[in-house]
Amino acid sequence: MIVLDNVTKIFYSRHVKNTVFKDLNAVFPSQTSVALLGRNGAGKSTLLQIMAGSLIPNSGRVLSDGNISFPIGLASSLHPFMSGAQNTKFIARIYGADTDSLKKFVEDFAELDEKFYLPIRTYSSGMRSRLMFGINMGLKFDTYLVDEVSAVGDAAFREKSESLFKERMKESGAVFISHSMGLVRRMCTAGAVLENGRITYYEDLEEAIRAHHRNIQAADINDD
Amino acid sequence: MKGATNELRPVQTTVSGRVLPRFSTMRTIVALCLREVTTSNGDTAGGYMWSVVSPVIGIIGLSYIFSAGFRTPPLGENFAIFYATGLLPFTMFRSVCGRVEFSIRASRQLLNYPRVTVFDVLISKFIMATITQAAISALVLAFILYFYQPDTTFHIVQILQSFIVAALMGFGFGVMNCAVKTKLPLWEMLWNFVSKPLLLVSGVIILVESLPRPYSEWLLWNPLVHITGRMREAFYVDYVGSYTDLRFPLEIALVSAFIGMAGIKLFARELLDT
Repeated sequence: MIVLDNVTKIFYSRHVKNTVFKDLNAVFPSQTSVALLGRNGAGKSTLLQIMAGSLIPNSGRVLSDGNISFPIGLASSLHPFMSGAQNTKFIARIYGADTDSLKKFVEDFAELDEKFYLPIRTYSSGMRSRLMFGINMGLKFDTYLVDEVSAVGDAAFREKSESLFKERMKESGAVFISHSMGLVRRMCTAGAVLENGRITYYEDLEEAIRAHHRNIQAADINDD
Repeated sequence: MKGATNELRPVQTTVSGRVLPRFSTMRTIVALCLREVTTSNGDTAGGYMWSVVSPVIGIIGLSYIFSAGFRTPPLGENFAIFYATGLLPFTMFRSVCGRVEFSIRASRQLLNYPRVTVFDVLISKFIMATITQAAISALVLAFILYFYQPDTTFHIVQILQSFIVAALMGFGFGVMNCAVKTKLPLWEMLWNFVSKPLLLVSGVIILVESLPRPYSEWLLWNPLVHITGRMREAFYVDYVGSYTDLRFPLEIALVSAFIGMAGIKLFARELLDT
C-alpha cells in the first residue's frame, strides 16, 4: 500500500515556477495493479519517482507499509560501460539480494544470450528494457513501479513477461504507466487519473479509462 | 516485509532520514566502490589501473624535469623527493576534494535507485579517491626512495598524519562545495579562482620560511601549509616545522564537513531536482 499525503511537487527552472501537482491525496492499495493515466506532462513519471523515493516532494509525505521498487523504464540507471551481468549484480548488491541467483534469473528471462556479458551501450533500447524488466521482476517488492515499458520483443516474449508480471501481482501491487490502453487493460485492475494536478482513484479500470479519454477530448477542444 | 499488519511509514528517500548509517549503507558503499573500480576508464585495457599509473608517471616525470632545472631544492639535496613530499599531500587534498565535490553530479543516475543515498555516494567516492591517491603516493615515494636514494628520514607516523588530515580536509571542502553549489551555482567559479593559486601558497614549492616576515605569517592561515609542513618534518631531520599544528586543518575539516552535510540535508530536494 502506498499513501500519498498532501504531496506537492514544484520544479524551478530558470526561476520559473512549475507546479506539477499540489496537495495530492490518494491511496494505492496492496496487491492491486493500478494504471496511472494522464496526458503527456501531467506528472505521471514525477509522481512515480516520488513514490519510489528518488525525488523528494516539496511538501507532504509518501507512506508505505512495504518495500517499493525503483521505477522500471526510467531514464537509464544502467551503467553504459558495465555489462548486463555486472549491472544486475550491482542492483542485487544494493538491494541485498543474492547476486548469483538474480543473475541466473535475469539471464534466463531476458534472453540476451552472449550480449548479457557485453556492455550495455551496445544494447538496443528493447534489450535494455528487457534487462531492466527482468532485474526488477527478479527482485521481491511489495509494489512495483513500471514506467512506460512498451511492448518489447516478439509476441512470445511479451506473453512471457505479461505472465510473469501477473504471477508477481498475486502477492504484490503495482503502479503502471502506459499510453497503450490495450496493455493497461491486460495488466491492471484499477486506475488513477492524474489531471491538472489532481488525482482521482477509480476502483474500476474502465471508469478510469473513460475519465482519461474525456480529459484527452476536453484538451483537444480547448486547443481548437 | 509484506501484509497489512505492517505499519505505514515514510518511504525511504535518497537522502536518508537517519544520521547513523544503517546496515544496508555499508553494503551499498561496497557495491558503489566495486562499481567504480570496474567502470573507471571505460573499456580501456587496464581499466582502473590507469587511475593510479598515469598520475604516478606524471609526478615522476615532472619531478625529473624539475630536478634537471633546479639543481638544489630549498630543502635537502634532491629535488625529486622535495617536490614529492610537498605535492603528494597537496594532491591528496586536491583530488579527494574534487571527487567528492562532483560525486553527486557524476552519479546522478545511481540516485534513481532509492536504496543509494546521497551519503552513500559521497562516502564511496571519498573512500575510492583516498585509496587511489594513497596508492599513487606510495608508488611515487617508493620509486624516488629506491632510485635516487636521497639522504632523508622516514617517520611513518608523521607521514600518515599528514595524509589523513589532507584526505579529511578534502572531504570537508568537497562536501561543502557540493552543498553550496546547489544553492549558489556561482560558487563553482569562485572556488576555481581561489583554488588555482593554491599550489603556490601551500608550501609545496615555496617554503614558508623562505618568505619575508608578514607574508610567512599570513601563510600560516592556509591549513594546507601545516599539512605539507608535517610531511617535510617526516622526511628532513634538519627541518624544524615548529609552526605545524595539525589541529588547525582538522578543525577546518570538521567545520566544513559539518556545513556540507547540513547543507546537503537542507538542499536535498534541489540537489536531486537538477
